[in-house]
Amino acid sequence: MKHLAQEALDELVDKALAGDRTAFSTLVRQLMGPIAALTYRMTGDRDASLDLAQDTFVAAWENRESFRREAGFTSWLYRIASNKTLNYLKSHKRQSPTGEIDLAEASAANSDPEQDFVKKELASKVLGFTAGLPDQQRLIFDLRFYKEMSFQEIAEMTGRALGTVKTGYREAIIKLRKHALEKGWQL
Amino acid sequence: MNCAQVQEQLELFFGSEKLPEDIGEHLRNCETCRSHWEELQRLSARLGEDADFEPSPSDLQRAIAGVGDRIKPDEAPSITPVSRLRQFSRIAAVLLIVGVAYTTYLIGRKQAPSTVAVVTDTVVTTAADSAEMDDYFVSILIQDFSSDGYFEAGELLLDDLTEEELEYLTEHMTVGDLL
Repeated sequence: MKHLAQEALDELVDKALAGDRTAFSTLVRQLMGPIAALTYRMTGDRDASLDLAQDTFVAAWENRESFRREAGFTSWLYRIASNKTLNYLKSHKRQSPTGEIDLAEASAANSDPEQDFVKKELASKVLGFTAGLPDQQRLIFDLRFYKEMSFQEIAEMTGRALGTVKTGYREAIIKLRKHALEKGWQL
Repeated sequence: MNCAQVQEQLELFFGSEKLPEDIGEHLRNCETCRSHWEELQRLSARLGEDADFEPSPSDLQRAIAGVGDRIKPDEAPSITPVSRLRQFSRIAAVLLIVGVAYTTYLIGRKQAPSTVAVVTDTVVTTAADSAEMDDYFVSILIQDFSSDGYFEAGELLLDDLTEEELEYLTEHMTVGDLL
């Protein structure tokens, strides 16, 4: 799919915020992929990730009047998607006593941590690799590494202190490196 | 900076291609830190294999369609006063094309405009490019009963045509309109 130039994107956002459904539909087509990619990496569940991505756009439409232009529209969508996904993961954990997989715990207590990843229905090897990070760290890692957001943007988006975001990213990298060495990746 | 401070910074630059000059200078002179950075870069490359990951096109289409279904009910019409003005401009453009084309046609036949012609077809098609699904081509066909011939009156590209605009246009340029 072709990606819109910033100017064209801004024009569509203006129209969508004024209530133009056609413009909003174009934005949905353009941005569904990246948003669904984020929710999928966070949940590892295909159906849930698509539902969350859909919920994100519906919430954006219903709350379009609350959008503040200091942050970009895409960042705003990521913020909505992140909050929805974190909430989903919290409620999912309540239903599932196994909860998320902590890499260190998984490595120490489970002889086959890959089995846990399979249980989380992770299709991609890399997705499975990052799935063991705690939710907040995985979100920070995804926004920084895959979405190429600055630490400052992530801090503003998640409402966390800049230092907390940096520490979270650094800890994520340390865990991923340790896990890679344990899995025998040639680094 | 000592090695511990540099390596802490390197983890923060994980995924970045460029390093600050002072860190780069340290790496040039420190094999341990340089090796650590190269290891992080290899890890970054492996994890980067998923950078372009997106759900399948069919999944995306399903999600996109779902959004459309969920935002439709009980919403105010999307036509604003500005877009309504644009709507009339577009329709005026269509009518102008029809008028000019038909007049030219009659002059070409050197006939007095005593014949009766009707709009026989209005063809509305979406553009082929999926990235421009909101673009419509509207073409109008006129039948001249005096010669029993058909005449292509004109074609107009309308971009970002909303459903309401399309409905309005087709209502005001329907088959059977006398010219």
